[in-house]
Amino acid sequence: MLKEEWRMHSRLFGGERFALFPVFVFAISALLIYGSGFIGFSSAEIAVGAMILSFFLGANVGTIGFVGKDALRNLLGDVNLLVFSSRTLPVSENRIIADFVIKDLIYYSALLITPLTLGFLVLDSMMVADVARLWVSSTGMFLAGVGLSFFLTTLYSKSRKALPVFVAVLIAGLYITWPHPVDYTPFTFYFTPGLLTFLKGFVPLSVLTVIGVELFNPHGMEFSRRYSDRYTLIRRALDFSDKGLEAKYLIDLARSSGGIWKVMFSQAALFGFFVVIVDRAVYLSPIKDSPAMFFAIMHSLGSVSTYNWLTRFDDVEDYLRLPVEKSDVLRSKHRTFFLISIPVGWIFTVLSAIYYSTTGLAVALIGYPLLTYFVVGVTIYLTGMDTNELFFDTYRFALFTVAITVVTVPIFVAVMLMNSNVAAYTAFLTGSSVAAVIGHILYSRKVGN
Amino acid sequence: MSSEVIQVRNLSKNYGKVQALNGLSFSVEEGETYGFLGPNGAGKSTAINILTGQIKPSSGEVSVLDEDPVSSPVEVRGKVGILPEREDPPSFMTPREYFEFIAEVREIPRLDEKVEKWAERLEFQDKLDTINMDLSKGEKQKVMVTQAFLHEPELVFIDEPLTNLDPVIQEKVKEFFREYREKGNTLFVCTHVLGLAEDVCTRVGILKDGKLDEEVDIDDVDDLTEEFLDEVDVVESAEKNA
Repeated sequence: MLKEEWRMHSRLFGGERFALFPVFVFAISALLIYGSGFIGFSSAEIAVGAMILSFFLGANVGTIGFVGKDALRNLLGDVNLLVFSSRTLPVSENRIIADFVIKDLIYYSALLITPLTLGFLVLDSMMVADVARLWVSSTGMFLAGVGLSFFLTTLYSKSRKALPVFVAVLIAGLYITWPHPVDYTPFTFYFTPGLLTFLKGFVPLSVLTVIGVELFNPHGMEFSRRYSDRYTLIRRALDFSDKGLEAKYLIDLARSSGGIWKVMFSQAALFGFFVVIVDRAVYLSPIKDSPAMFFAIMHSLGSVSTYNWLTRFDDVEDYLRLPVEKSDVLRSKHRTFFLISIPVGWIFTVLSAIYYSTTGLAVALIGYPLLTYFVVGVTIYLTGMDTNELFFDTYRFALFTVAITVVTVPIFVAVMLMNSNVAAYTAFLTGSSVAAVIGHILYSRKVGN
Repeated sequence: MSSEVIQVRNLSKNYGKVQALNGLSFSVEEGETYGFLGPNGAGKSTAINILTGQIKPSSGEVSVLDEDPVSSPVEVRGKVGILPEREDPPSFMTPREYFEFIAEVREIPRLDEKVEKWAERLEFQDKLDTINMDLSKGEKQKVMVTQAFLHEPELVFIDEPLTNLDPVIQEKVKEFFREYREKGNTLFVCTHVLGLAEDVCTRVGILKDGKLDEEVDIDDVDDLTEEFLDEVDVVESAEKNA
């Protein structure tokens, strides 16, 4: 599977460009870690951030529980991976999916976690042994994310009634272990290395992952599922659609494993991550006064995951048997993206306002669509409909990162530095509008007017 | 419009160093069922993909229903029907929804009536509301056959149409192909199933090394299998593909 993954990506981007990806991650990581240290974060705080990031990264990867069901049923296009082999080889589906999870762990560890933690070597306060320990904890946190989200998604697929029961058990567990529930994650091993913290940190998540794999059933609960005609209903509701493609994409998204909830899940993971960072980082405390604008910026970046879900179940080529242009397909994907991403982004922007403060909420709700217009414009320009694969192309990923950083960081900083609310609102709306114009130019260059 | 609905002159297509088509030339008359035969990897599907504007040729000239599929691919695909090889209907839609979608894109009137007729003809009435991913391979192929003919095109490109269909349905499909041609429509059938070519085609072209090796009227051939094996060195082709 590792060889297959390597060949798939190196064939797409060229071996050298793909091999450079961890180097690029290392460079970005080193830059951010150095920058964070420079503005006053302690190495412990940055390490906490890295471990939380690893956890949420793992949580997103763990949604293989959603994708895996479809993947094992051979629905992801012409690419035929070993993960589909349970149909033809004397290997159980659970064994295959277990190998798939292990492969992802090794793969993402080499590609992301290792270069991310190596970036800590730029800090004077971090010795090689500290970085090695951080690598163990971050990899563990990544596995914890994979294990937890995989477990939850498979449980949800197996029995929707069991999910609230598990959440209740989780809450009970938190209550029993309070005030030290994190001792039962790999997090603590970094700060208090030892056999006991290692076992306490790694055994529960390993058990959870194994149970998730055992519960995994790619064929779900139902066969021969029947639906009344939803296409016509949705198509009629979407007056603006000229070829009815949008209604098809919405059906694909809603009926693929995990349904529309997988979009919410990706943005919820980002929300959780940002809340933890804002709560812990003293330098980011001004965000708490008018959080909605900052959360709107973060969730506009997270909307890439929504576009990724929307393009996961088809290729442009699938539509070329019909009288449609490639540009029709991209244009309709773009429209469908806004139908989903705007309400989802608004929900989390409002949640941030409820959690911290409602100051600037209205402005944030106006700015969010403009920012997502920019983000999806860059994404479509660089990746078309192959977002998932092409983000592992170092060159394109570097371009994406630079484009996003150059536009959103100045907006973020400008809003933070303004002395009055009015000035902050003006900076946010001006920046968002400029971003939207840039997004529109890029989108138009790719798709045409 | 000329009576030649497909015209191909010196068509070539390279995939890197691999030459899939090499100076292919032929034409198809209105009202024919033209069989495009050849061993695996002979370039049959590549030819269909070029003729329907899905890929561009490396060189050569092509005309389909007086349109150039290279410069006007959408116009060509709007006029013709396409039954691709190895393609399933969209996984998450039901057949009924898929046909609604096809009707939306192709602007097909009186769809319900047509769908009912096709479902009855290919015996999948009870599957119209089952999600496509839960259909059997044969049922999926029935859906794909239906979508190619729903708009009643005057020219249909068909790539291995009988794949996964049971013998009864195979006969029904072949019968339909004959009736469809008798109404004045044209079918372009890519296949390596010689029995299908003998049963439905009026003329066949045998593709070898990316170009047409021989063209024969089906009525002039005693044994198509023998003719095919004479023209195509199957062992050599297999070695080339390997």
